[in-house]
Amino acid sequence: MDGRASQPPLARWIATVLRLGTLAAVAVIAVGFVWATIAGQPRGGTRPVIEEISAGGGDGVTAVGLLALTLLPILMLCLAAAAFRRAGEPRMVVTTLGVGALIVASLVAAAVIGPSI
Amino acid sequence: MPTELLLALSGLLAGAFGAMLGLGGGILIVPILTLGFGVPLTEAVGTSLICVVATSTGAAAINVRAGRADVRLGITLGAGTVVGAVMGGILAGFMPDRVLAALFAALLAYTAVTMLRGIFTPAADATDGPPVDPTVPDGPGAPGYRGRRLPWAIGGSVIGGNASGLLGVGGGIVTVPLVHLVMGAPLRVSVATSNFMTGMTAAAGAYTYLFRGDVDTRLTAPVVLGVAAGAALGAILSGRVNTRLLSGLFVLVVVYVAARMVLRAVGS
Repeated sequence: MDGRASQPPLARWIATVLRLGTLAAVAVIAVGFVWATIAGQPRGGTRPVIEEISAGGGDGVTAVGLLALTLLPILMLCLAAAAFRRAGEPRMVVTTLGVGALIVASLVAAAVIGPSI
Repeated sequence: MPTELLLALSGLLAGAFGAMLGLGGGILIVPILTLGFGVPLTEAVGTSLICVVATSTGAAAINVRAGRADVRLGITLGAGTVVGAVMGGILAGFMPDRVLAALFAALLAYTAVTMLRGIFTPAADATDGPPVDPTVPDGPGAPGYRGRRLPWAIGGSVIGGNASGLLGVGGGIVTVPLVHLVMGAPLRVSVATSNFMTGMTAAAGAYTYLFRGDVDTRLTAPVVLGVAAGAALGAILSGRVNTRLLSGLFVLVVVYVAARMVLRAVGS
């Protein structure tokens, strides 16, 4: 198999999701920040991101943007795994999904026990 | 001047400086927030990690498309940095502010020494040997460095990830030498690959801070926006500035900040 044939989609997929994802997340953060500032929303200080999102308003939108930004690497790894699978690289599929699972596990663990650690 | 505007300008400065010097910017954001704005260290680290994700994902998109980053190696070593980052994020929740300040001062000192060495030694790219293609898949023709000392590199990347999760930096100060010196990858590939890994590492570390309630959205938003704009500006300016002069200036700033962090650690 000519493995090189797999590289263009892999690079293109990863670059596209990272570029567009970063732009979208930063745009959401900007919208939330401007909204909270214009609306004169009182500062909530530091609180867990889920509470911030539940509270809504501009700060809630900002929190969605911040969380979306940190979710980008997981999305990128999912696409990379799909590209490796398409290219017939089973070892890289397993490695990529393993790293993705580690990040998801850290997200779930932080969401479940985060406030207590 | 409103605090939010100052925060955005600080982010802009850190992002531009970071992009011009090939850093994530976290090494500047944490001291700016703690020493300049009086933000608690753990909160500054959480904010910095989110900024590092923003700068890394933006730059990685360019590096991956240009074929400079070794995606396969980056993902493989990412297993180590992610584990380290999560451990670092948890550890930071238990560590006193003074200990974190002392550790950050040590990291700054190491950064200053590394940058000074870079100023006074010739560019390593000249000795990188024949060009290698980091986009070649595993198997025949794959870059030889990819399998070299891999267990050591994964072990070292846990340390790099730990520094990232604990101190809110990208971890490149550990992972670039690891990929370049331990595995033998060309410097250009090492820098691009390390940057690619940084997004995964910082994201894994950031979750602990986000869900623990160590991130103030109103404080983080202007810094992230400033950093994103600064990184883009820095990428444009990077070819037009004297990197050696900039590195020298950066070392002075880092030494000053390290001294302030030491004072904070000893409680002065």
